[in-house]
Amino acid sequence: MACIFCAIASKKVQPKTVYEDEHLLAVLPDEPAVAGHILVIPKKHLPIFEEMDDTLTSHVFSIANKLSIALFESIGAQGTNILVQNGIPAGQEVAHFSINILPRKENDLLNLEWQVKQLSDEETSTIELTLKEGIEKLQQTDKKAVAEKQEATALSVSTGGEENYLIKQLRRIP
Amino acid sequence: MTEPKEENIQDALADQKQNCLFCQIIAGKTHSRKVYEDELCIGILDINPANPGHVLVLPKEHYPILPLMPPSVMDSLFVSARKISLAMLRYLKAEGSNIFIANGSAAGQKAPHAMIHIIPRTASDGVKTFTLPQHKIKPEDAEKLQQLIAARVQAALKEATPVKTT
Repeated sequence: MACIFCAIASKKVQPKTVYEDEHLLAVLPDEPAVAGHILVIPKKHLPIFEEMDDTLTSHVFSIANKLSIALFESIGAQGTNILVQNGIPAGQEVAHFSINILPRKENDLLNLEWQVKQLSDEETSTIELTLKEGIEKLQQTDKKAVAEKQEATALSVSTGGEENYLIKQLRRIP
Repeated sequence: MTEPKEENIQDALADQKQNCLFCQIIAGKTHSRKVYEDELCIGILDINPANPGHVLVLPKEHYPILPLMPPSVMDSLFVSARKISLAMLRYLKAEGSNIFIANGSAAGQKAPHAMIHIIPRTASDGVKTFTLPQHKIKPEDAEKLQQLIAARVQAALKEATPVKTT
């Protein structure tokens, strides 16, 4: 088993578990960024965020939120960060999606403030347009996929003559 | 005694909302560079970006921190975040992304309107912020933390499923 997170999720390696359910494991890492650092690991091996589906996404972040609340109440955290390192350039060390939950206190030694990179208005406008159009394309693809799924479902429940009519309709879609 | 307290909280929230820059952006009263919108959330470019294309995803309703957000809104927020991250990879030539949330000023929260940061990353962008340090911890300290946190999580899960009587 090459993936350390899969080994942890399947208990081949003994983790310090703080929560577990059917879909994920929440553990304390061996070398935390700060005391109380929690790592949320989905049991399914998915290398990056984009490969997750909507249901799993909602679930892991819902649990991450609950765990961050538990940090306020159990170890007196004054704040919490939720951080995903998605991809090697983003700091991802294991090719298995995970979420970091970090308890924070005023004047603790962790610094997660970035240096601002100011761009010209023109550069910013270009990025705005590119991203906006790209997101719209993805939304269109999603809508199409939902519509096709609905058509397929409708098709599978119809019978005989009705089926031919639905096939004809499908063929008319550009 | 509890009723006046509840009113004070509602008043404080209403005040906060009136003075909230992001609520004003959502209401169209302040300019923003919007790249995403659905029924519950919007995505706008951060005016203080860590990298070009840094997006803030926020609910249209005002919630001071993530824990106060209803589950349906939270779900929508994170599902949108995934879509926006994918768009960054595909259309902005990003090689990765950081998803970042700050709950509370001790965690770096700057505005009283809960939001998610999505930051596109490349191998050569020079951003060091999201590389987490790694510290040694004594086994007995780790044990104690595990017990404290696990116990609180268990208790919270029990509290979260109240039996409705009406």
